[in-house]
Amino acid sequence: MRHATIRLLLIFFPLVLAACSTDDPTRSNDFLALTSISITSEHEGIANLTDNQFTATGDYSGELSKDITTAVTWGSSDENILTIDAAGLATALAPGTVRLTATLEGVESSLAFRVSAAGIVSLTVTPASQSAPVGVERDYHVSGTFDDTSAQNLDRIASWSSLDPAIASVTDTGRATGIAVGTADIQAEWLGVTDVGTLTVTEAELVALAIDPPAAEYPAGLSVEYTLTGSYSDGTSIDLTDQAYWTSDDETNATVDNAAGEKGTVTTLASGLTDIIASYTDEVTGEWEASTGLEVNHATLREILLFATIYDANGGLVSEDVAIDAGERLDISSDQTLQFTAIGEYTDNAEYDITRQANWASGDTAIVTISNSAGFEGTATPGDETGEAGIIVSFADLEILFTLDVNQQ
Amino acid sequence: MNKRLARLLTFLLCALLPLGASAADEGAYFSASVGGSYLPEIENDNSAGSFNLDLDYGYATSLALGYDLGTKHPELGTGRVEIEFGYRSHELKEVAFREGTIDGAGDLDVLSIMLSTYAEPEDRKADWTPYVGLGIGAARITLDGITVSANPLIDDSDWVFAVQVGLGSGYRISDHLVLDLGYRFFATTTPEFKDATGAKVDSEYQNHLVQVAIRLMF
Repeated sequence: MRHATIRLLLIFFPLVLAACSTDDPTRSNDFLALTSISITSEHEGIANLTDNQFTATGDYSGELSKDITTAVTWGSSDENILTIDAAGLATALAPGTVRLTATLEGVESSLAFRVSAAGIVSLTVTPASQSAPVGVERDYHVSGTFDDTSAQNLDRIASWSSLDPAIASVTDTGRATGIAVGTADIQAEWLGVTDVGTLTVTEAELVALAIDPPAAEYPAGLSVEYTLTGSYSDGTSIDLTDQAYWTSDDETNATVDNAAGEKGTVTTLASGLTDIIASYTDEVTGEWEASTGLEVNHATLREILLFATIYDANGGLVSEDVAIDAGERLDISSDQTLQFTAIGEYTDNAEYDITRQANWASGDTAIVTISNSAGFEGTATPGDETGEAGIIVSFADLEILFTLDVNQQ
Repeated sequence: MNKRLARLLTFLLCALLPLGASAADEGAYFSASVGGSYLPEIENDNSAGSFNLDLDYGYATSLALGYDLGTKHPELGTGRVEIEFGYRSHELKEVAFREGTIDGAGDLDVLSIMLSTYAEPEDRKADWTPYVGLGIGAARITLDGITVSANPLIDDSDWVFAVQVGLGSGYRISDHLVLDLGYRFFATTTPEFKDATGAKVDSEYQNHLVQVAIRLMF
């Protein structure tokens, strides 16, 4: 009974720890009565033909306050001077003074608001200049100065355009995006008055690194090629495997190669966990690091599966992925070459390509040679003589033997 | 409710004290406990969104009848099984909505009946005997007169499935009497209540309890 109880407790205690958090509430208070509304304005007053955002805040019995801008009913005492929409955005149509009201649940609040006859003198785009890598967005704002010396934000009513659309684009809200390296003027215009901000577009910038395969599991004694891919602000991706420095967090479980041509090749050694880490130095953004988990499991090699693809003298495909069992005989003509593929089948039913790690041997190199050279592993080439030659493929503690019968062309 | 339980506890203790005749590892026992209880904020959901109940520290009390297996049942191990009747109560402190927190009032009460098993080491020669345990049962959770700034929110109850894990240690005062200091985590499946508007509200209950108990061996 004791052991069973302890086992159950070990399962249950993580649930105890997990039970100590609560999400933020999402339900609005609907228990307290609304007692007052306060109206706040973006500007104290505005020039004719401009706009202004009003905000309504409700006070609930002195206990809570919340933004009720979109809940109240807005009203203007003279809609020939100022109109206001359900979201509290008012548009000036003529000079004058109006009284704005916000009403909800029988509670009303009002505010006197003046529309001036001031005329626009100049626009100012901010920031005056900024830079962005290709694909990255930057915001611009515009304010207007009027002939009564007042100034106000005109973001919502100004028109935006890029004077160099091949370099940068801009949205109706003043959000610019770099398209190609260069300099672009981003222009704001209102009532014929303009100003520009400069956007310097630089080379696309590295924004993310990713290792492939992500969190993986392999048996011991296997070599696996890992790759590092960089994602850039313009949406492109670049293979950075050879530019990265690779390390394994626990080299008793797995090592990773940094030799030229072997960068990112992970060799699993013993069961356990490790992280495979790729470090990369980007000229613009500096040091980067990506990592992925690797579990070396207890699976062992159960069987080697062998396949051959046969090519003619001109490199043309004769037959593809011909399965070869141990002891079998395969006939080819002396002008053909073969590429063997060895697949390791493991006790966890997983299969891995072990062609590069297997050892390939020919019993008679005068009849056929078979390569163990890097990049050519498992490539068989007939020799000067014809006849039968035994081929042995070995990996870990298994080997498979078959006969290759080379016939005269 | 707590007064009725306290009276029952006193009565049972007085009635059982003369029974302590045969000292033993093995045999039936009776126990009574009191303790301090903590509830994390309780999240309540329905179609209108979620609101959280923040409750004060509370108290808990329980009565249990059990059987100590002693060392005479090696095929089962060493430990105890018991059936426990419990009561826990907390006062509501605040209710949190999206916009902020409002003072609340009312109680959250839980009545429970649990079948529990506790594992103990085979060597019981030491004065202190540690244990770990697990129990399953049922609980009636009551949100009693929950109000927000005097406006009714929930006044409802629900029966739910309950589980409990615990650990602690018993100090052998005499052959028949053990002082038990322990911790319990008690959780239930999702209780459902109706709020003041009649809308269904899914709630939760997870309780941490530190308790002191007396075990009287028959």
